[in-house]
Amino acid sequence: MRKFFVLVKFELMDFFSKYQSGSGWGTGRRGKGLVILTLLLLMIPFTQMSIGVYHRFYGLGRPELAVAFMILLTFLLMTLTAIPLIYSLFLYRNDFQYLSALPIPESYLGMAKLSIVWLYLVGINLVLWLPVSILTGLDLGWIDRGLITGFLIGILTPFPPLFFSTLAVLALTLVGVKGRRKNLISTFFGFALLGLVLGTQLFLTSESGVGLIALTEGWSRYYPPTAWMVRLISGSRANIIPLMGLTVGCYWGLQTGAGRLYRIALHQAETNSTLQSFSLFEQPKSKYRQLLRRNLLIIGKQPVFLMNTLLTLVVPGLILLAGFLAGDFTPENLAEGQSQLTLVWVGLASAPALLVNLSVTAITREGKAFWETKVLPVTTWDNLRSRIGTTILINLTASMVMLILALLCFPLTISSVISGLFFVVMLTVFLAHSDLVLNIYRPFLNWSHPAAAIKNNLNVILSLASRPLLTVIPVLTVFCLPGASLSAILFYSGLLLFLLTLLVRKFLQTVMVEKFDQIGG
Amino acid sequence: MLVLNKVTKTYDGEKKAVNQLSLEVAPGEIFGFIGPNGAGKTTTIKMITGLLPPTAGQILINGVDLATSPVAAKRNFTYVPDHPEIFSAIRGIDYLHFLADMYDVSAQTRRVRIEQYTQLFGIYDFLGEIIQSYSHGMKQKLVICGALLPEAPLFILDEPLVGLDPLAAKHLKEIMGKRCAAGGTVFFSSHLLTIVEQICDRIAVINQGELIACDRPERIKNGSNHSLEEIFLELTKDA
Repeated sequence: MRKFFVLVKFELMDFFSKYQSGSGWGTGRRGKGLVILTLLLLMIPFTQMSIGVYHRFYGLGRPELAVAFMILLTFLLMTLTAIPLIYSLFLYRNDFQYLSALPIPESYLGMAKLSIVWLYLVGINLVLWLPVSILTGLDLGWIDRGLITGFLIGILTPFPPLFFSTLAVLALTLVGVKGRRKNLISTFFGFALLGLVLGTQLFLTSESGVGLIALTEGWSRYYPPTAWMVRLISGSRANIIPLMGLTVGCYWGLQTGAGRLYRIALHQAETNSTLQSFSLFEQPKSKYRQLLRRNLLIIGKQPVFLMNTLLTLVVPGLILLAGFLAGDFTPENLAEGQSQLTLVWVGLASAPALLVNLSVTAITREGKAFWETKVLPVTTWDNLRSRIGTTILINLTASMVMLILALLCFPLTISSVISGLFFVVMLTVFLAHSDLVLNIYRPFLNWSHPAAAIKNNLNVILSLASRPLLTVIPVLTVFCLPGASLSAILFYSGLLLFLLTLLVRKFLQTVMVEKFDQIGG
Repeated sequence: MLVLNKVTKTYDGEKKAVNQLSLEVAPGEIFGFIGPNGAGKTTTIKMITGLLPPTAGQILINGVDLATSPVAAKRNFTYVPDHPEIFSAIRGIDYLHFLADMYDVSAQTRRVRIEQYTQLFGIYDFLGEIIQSYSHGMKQKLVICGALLPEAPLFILDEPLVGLDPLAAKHLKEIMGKRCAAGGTVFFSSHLLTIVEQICDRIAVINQGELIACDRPERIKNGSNHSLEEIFLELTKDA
């Protein structure tokens, strides 16, 4: 057993060192401290959510349902977290190749990896579940029971979702979803998690009390441990028995599942997958189109870049959705005035340009492959232009989706659409140019993990921090055109942005082209 | 084909990585570029390929000034770096089509050449795979195939034989020979001095950023029975 714990410790160190290097803060003591600080900061909103759940049900006079609700919520959250994690730990790492040569039982190898997932889930579970448990204990006058029973439940309840996730990963591998589909898996479950968290927030704030109680009670019937946990927290110690029984059953199932996953992972690493077909014939494409395609693929084919871009792009859509679900956008509100609607839709359509600052990492994203385009027979300006084009293409596509949604949701006038659209396009084009200047000044190509290229990158922070300065443009327009309509302000602000873009473009074509030529090597 | 005229590269305004380097490589030559680690070989190659601008001096490729007409100059060469660090989330075939478009290789020609070179280096069957799944040697072979695809007049290679299996190394040496026989030029750096001695028409030895010898291998050896390796060690002993 000692070897098993050594193996778990080794896997844990490997997991966190990858997380730490991925965070881009280095592997030293300072890096560790920053990672811990980030994790602590991340705990705050989740703990707040948990407390919010308790207060919502307490307000409805059914505090015990807060326990049921949290058990259901944590089950779903842990399942959605565990599936991509198991998939990644088993099928996307090559360490089984050398671990399998060690003098330890096979069963240890798979279980050591699942232990990491379990520890991860326990962390999530305790953050979300423990506040509800303590508050319920306080309410019932059993502080120690709230804490001790809550902790016990916190470490035992990850077993069912872990077992369920292991089965799900086994099922996915059976239908052929293996190493090559990691992007798809990460993206799908990333969105599912985001949807679950936001959906819960919306559900808690907008659903009527009766509906919330009915839904929680209804769903609890499908997951019997919910009832055991409610009774356990309420003082019925006998309910620990079915919980222990379930845990032992899951543990046994996990041992079998881990062994099966281990053999699949080893088989995948040792055998060549079926070779994919390809075509030697391809119609020649223009150089600019190929460069644009390359830049799009760098984002699209790298899971970290893709997730970061997509998740930021969907934020305005989610704000709109949340506005409707929370009742901020009601027929009465919508009838209040065209100006307000215009501001809302222009704000949402501008969000991709303001938040998804792709140009600021346009060079950095290439990493060590940066040399490739520099030795090609293309002008430096074409090289830069293709990076600007990529940002504009992605951000404007998202803005157009927002425009379509706005047209479907709001009664907008033609002048509002035209002036707003002109402003959004000019803002997108301007920021695509100006952010690139920053990346040329501060390129970072020797990153070891893609997360370091786009997150925790000072360029990104500087770019976002400079966004408030943009308010000068509409303020200046209002100052110069007192009494002008909103459409006029948007149009002239767009015009001002267009003139600024011409200036920045000229700067890029002259000074920055030379600076770009100095990069890398 | 390649002219370096008093090329200098200074870092931080002080440290001279390459100092007043002048070279001329004629069409049809296999030109070896050797020197100890840190001598300035890779910096020189990076300047020739446009990855780094020289601090002073002029580089002409096929008579075209790299500084004033970079695109026209770059059409005349292809480059294989010492490490095959390429955008690896795409398929091998996509990488080759990308390069073919960059060098205006027609659909018909690229079809023939891709098949010819990738079959020769044994990576044809893997072209449909994502480059990430390739081994180091396979990536190196893909980069070489990509550089051969446009059949540019000048072929620049930095340590091309590292990571290649003996058969692939043999094929590459044969291709280099054939290229030169057909009027092309090969400029390459290597630490494998026996191979340099064996295949190069001329050799340049660089040390501490300065050219210390440039001639035919037998003339560098000056009629002695010593190997090129021994001569090289003697020439660069102060490094």
